[in-house]
Amino acid sequence: MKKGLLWIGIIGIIISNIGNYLYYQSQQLEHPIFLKHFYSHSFYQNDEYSFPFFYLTNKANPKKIKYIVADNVAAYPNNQTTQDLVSNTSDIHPVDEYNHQYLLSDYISFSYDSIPFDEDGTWSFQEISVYFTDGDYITTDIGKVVFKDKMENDNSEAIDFTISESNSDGLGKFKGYTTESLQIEKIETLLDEKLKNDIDLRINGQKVSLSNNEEIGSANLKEDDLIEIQWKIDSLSNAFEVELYLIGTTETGKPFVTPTFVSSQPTIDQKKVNELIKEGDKQ
Amino acid sequence: MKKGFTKIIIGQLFLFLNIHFFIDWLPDPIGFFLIHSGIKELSKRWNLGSNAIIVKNLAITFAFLSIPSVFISRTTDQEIFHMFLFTQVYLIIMNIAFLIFIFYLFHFLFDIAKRAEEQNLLKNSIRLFYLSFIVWLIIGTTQSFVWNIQEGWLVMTLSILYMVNIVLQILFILLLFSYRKTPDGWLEAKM
Repeated sequence: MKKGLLWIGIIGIIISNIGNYLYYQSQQLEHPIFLKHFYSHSFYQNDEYSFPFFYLTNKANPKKIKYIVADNVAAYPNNQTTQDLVSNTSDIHPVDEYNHQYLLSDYISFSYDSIPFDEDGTWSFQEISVYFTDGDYITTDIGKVVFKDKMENDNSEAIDFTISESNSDGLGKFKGYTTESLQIEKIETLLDEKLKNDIDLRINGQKVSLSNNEEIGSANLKEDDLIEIQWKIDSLSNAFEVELYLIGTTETGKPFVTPTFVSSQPTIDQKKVNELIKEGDKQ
Repeated sequence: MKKGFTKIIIGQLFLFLNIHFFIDWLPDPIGFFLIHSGIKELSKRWNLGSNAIIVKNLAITFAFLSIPSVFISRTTDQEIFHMFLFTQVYLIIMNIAFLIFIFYLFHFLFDIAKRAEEQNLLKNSIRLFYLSFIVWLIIGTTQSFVWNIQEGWLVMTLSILYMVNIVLQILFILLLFSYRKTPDGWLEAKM
């Protein structure tokens, strides 16, 4: 019949395979890409705490964190059981799955003893070096993590927080009761500059902004009053776990600082992943 | 006609059926060899034209080319990410090889049908050719998209195409039976 048909067929198969292969290669990450994390935590003596760090890694060659170094301090993942190369995909439990990548998370633990607190009792880092189990390593902006040395007794029992709810859309709620008459004067976090534009915070319905200078005048509460804190975090592609300090004075004149926290697990879609891949290529 | 076409039919069965249990127990190389042998048999009695010679040579070539396929099973799921690049390239080459083979095998049959002036047989053959060729072509191009698209609709489309392909292969074998039944006399008269 027509040999042209045969040639069209052969060339068609070749072109579609080459095209798909090239696209596939262009979508592979050279190194894993970390999301941005905003974490703060107050450490007691001998305390140990771990945070999850989220990163995208190729499905074809998924990597696991061996350890990280932040500001000359090494920190290790929690599950140190099989730290060898990931040979079998069934070892992986991804947070999410995309066309060519997985979103993985590793809990990295920090212990009070290893933290070099500054004079003001805090320690923070924004960049870490990550060493993977296959020998690869990167240095990357991780967001901002702040640790605080909890030294003082803050009369934190002024408010008793009982119920917390949070869901995956960046919304959350805390409910608590005052143990005596008090007035909330301000709300602070260790990450005010990073957080204040991304979070919508309300106490008993009243919108509050995170800022050291603004005072919340009307939060005058009696004993056993309900305090409901609602928050909404806008940037869903970041991870948050930030301590929130409610600061004020009780009726009897005692100051108090009651901690609670807001948290949000990152969720990203394929579109965001494609953006991150493009940004990653530019570096 | 009978003996030659019997070999061709059995050869085609070897190609069509792949019973994989560590290796392919109905190996493609044997299938190609039987087809080659069948055409040689037929060519002894009659001059069947240039397409016959082409198919005969393709068959023996592919008999050797398809030896690795005895050890590789074709899969379309996520497994492909973990196969070696060589394996993937080989499967694409075999894909194209089958496309070429379908093309010339059918044209060989057209020649016979034309010589025997079997209009119906020729018409059916041509129809089946277009279907088989196009389906195989679509499978060959669509398979490569699985690299990049994991959505269900693509996998489902491929599954449907595979099932259609199976039906077409069965029809092809039935078509071969019709050729086998063609009385020798019909070809004799034209020689």
